[in-house]
Amino acid sequence: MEKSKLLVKGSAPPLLDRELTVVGKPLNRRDALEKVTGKAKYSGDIQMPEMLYGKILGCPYPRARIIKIDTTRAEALPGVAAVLTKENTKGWRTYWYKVPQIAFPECITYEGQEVAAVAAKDIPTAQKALDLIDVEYEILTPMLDKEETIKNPPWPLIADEEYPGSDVYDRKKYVIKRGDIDKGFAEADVIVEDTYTTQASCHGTIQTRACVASWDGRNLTVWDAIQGVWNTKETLAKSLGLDPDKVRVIVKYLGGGFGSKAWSQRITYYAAKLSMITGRPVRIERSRREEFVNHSRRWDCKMTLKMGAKKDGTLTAIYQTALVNIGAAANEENYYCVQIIWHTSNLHACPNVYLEQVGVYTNLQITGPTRSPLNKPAIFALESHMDKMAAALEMDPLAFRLKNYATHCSISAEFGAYPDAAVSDRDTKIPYSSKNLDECMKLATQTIGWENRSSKRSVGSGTKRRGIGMASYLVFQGVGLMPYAANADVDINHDGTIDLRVGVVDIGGGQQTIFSMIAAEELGVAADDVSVVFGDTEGTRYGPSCHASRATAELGPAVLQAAAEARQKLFEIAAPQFETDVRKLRSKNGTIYVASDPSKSMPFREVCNKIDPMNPIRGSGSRAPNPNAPMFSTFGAQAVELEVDIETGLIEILKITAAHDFGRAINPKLCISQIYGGIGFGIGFALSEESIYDPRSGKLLSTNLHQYKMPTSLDVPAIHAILTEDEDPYFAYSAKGAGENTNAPTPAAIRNAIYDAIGIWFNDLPITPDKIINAINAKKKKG
Amino acid sequence: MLYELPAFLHADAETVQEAVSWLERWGNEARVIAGGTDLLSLMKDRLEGPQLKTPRALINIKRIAEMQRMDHDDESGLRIGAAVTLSQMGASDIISKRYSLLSQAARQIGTTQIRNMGTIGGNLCQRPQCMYFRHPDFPCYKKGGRTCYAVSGEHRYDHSVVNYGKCVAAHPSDMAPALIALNASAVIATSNGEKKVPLQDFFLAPNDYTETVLKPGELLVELRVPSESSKSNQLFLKHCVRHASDFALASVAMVAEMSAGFVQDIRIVMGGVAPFPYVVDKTEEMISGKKLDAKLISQAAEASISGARPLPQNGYKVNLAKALIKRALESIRK
Repeated sequence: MEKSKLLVKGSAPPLLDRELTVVGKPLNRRDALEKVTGKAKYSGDIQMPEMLYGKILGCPYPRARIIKIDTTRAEALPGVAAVLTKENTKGWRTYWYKVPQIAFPECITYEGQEVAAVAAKDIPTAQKALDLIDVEYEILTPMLDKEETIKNPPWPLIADEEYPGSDVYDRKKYVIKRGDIDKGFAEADVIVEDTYTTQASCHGTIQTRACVASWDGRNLTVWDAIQGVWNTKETLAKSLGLDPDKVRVIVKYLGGGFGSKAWSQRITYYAAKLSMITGRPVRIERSRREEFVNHSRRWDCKMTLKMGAKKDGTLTAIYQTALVNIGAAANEENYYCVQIIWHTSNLHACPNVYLEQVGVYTNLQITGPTRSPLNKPAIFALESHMDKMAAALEMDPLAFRLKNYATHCSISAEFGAYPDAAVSDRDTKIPYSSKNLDECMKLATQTIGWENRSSKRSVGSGTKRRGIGMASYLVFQGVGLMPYAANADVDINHDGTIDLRVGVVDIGGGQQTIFSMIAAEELGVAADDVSVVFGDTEGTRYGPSCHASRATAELGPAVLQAAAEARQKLFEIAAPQFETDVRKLRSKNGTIYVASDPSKSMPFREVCNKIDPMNPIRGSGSRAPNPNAPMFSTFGAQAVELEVDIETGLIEILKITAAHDFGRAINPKLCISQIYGGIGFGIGFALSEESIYDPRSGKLLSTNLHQYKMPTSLDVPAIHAILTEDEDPYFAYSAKGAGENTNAPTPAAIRNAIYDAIGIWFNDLPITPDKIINAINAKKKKG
Repeated sequence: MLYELPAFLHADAETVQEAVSWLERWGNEARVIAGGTDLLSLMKDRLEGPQLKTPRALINIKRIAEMQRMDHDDESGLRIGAAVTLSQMGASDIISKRYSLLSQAARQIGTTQIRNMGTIGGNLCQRPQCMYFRHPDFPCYKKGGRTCYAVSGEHRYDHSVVNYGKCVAAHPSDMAPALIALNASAVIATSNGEKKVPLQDFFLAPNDYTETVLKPGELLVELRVPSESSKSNQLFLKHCVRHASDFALASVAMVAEMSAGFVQDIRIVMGGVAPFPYVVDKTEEMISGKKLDAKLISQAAEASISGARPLPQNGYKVNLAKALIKRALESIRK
């Protein structure tokens, strides 16, 4: 028998030699009813006796120095329990993702950075206390624009001014090269160059950050709104000088994360510190305005692409420079120094490439993971340019992509994670564990009616013009990132109950449901028979943060291994009852039976009754790190049909088709939901969403959900979502992971459809009415 | 988060007289509250300045029965209490049959939740959407400061292209252009009794610190729409960044009386382009009494906003305004 390739430590369980009864079913999410009925208690709903309310005073300037800070009046206010500033917290560091920062710096490097924190008996008192803190600032000139900033030498630092990670990333070139770029362009019949820009964008999670921190003198317990309980536990312990064993982090429900909550939140450190000082629980919740100002924005990017191809469409060279506005703080967990160029390197086959990504530090907020962080900018530029290239070659954009279909990955995902790996000139060919991008492209385009593309252009009536466009993507994601620890345990109890223990947060994608399904399949019971202990550092072992679509990919194999081990232990108890060998037993639908004679069976629960009540069965599983090869990726393609009104510039998206390769779906309903959600994100990034700053002060202006324009339900058209399900033996039931990158191709597909409709290339996102109307008028003037 | 609002006194007025007496007593420290969709967000954002006081008293008018009524008869026309919600207006049969301009406009405002709470009076009295005005850290001209930040800063969406002054914000209301096109008047209650003001005169110029003629102690109680235009062609067009939940980049409200293809009488009012609802009188003059053809429509649309002086980044609004006017006129060309 072939050795199982499942990515686990120790021996991998054999594949189930029976049909699947749970995996692949479109089950409803476990927490759906609790959420829609309002029963779900989020972190902000936690109430404790004697609880205090915290508020943080953020600096209103992107760059400033505190000349004087006086808290006398605030401290004298009745009801104020504690006031923290730089004066009474010297040496204390908190974290932004994993970036250590001075908790209360003298020199502020981004708007909203912490100046003071108070705890008081209620929110109005806490707010009043902030108003009573007298701060005298020296306002310093902020660096805002990435191109302006990089033109000038780095500015001299003032006082304790620091930009963590700048020694590694600021103005440093990260390069991927292979082949001979000059030779590539020399061989080309057609060369096209263009520049693309993508905007700074914000998160708008339904739940703003909220936490309750409670220090009881020995242990710190935190109810938080974050994506990872274990990584939060680690950085909290580090910041507060506590033994990690004394810190417990709980996240039972999360109102959206999308990367913005991938690590511990700023507010949690301050709530915890205030709790440790006052000895009382402290709750901090951000208002929507605070949330917009002090969270991870997406980097604004400028990307120039130059491509060469032969007449038949064969790519011969790709040259790219990408400039990224890093903001004020970074390390490898919140800035990805080769992410743009990795995608350009690998989406399409091309023998000669020179790709360069440079980041520059500024005072424009702090940045971090934002659903398809730099993939979305990268894919927008690349897939836009592919269409422009196809137009220059007079080729069909789909045919052009299929012509340059990449069967191998050329550069591993690890490259760029370390500062000494700034240049990669390896020309390796790494196979994918599975890849169905060609099928994705064919299905998405067929479903939208690609073959009628040219005839549809005239369908629009009067002033409306119709167009169809497409884009594809790949991503390395959801796969064994550091610290390569993903553990799961399955307990089978004497009374027949089953507890699955996973140290992961259900971000809202249905992780609780998915893992119960994997365990249930392996055990041979129904998904509802498995109760899941999750979102808690107590009762679980280390699990990854729920971001980068990694939860299913990383924990899935561990859950499968744990459940299989528990099942085998149960079979050992069952075997004497059947008077047969343990290897001959199987389980399915709550029944344990003999493989050769299924009529010989016993209910699962009945066998459980033989378990020693004091000593339940435990099965354990752990994910193995990724091998150097093959490469694990997910893929997809989307096509968009839309109409543009050539007088008013109104864009009406009529239909979007999406075909994605996530491996096999554990729960297709949840996978399809991820596609719907992702496309909504993509539409916003394409047409309306952007962080709007005051150009002089650098302050964020768009700080509410009206000013920051996320799409509404009326902006999202009918979506036809398709899953191209295929085997991938490295993952649990072939589930590679889904979610994050479903938004990556949408902006380019929309932009390419607009070109198809009205013959105008839009290279700057978002494509807002001002840009559309100006471009249409410029075209009219040109004739 | 309502509990982060500054403290205030809340008084339920049962009658118009009671509301006016409360408003008189508290002067410029009082605000009228109905749906609160605009007022509460201003308060939550803690907006204040020499010319924008944080209210200490909110006078609730939702209990005043006469302010929630809608009546219609052929002689006196339509009367809408200022506390009638936008949802009620959007759902009213009489409005959709005879004053469809109002239901077209009401249905395009905000979101379902906003329309359920927001009232016609509140829609007319709402404050500008300029992001500097709406931000607590910018002491802009409108709040009593010395600077307009928008004129050289961000002004793509919410600002004027014509008739602006020291403040360049555009008036955000959708109902105002629609009502003005229907020749509506506002009934204002004061301590000396009621007064009636043509709605066109209800709005102030950009150098004033407020957008309406309402003085402290005065209350907008009713809108009156004459029945004369109830048989005419009525059209409301609005262009936004998104398909919902947005204010107009530009809107056009048109009421046209046609006879045998000739324009008997026409009123066109725009929103989103000027500090007040902008009556497009140049276009009205050009086409009154004429038969519309493509050339005339194009000329009339071109002339519609000919005095525009767009800001550096909102010139597109001029093109948009003309396109919307053209579209409106084409709808009545037979």
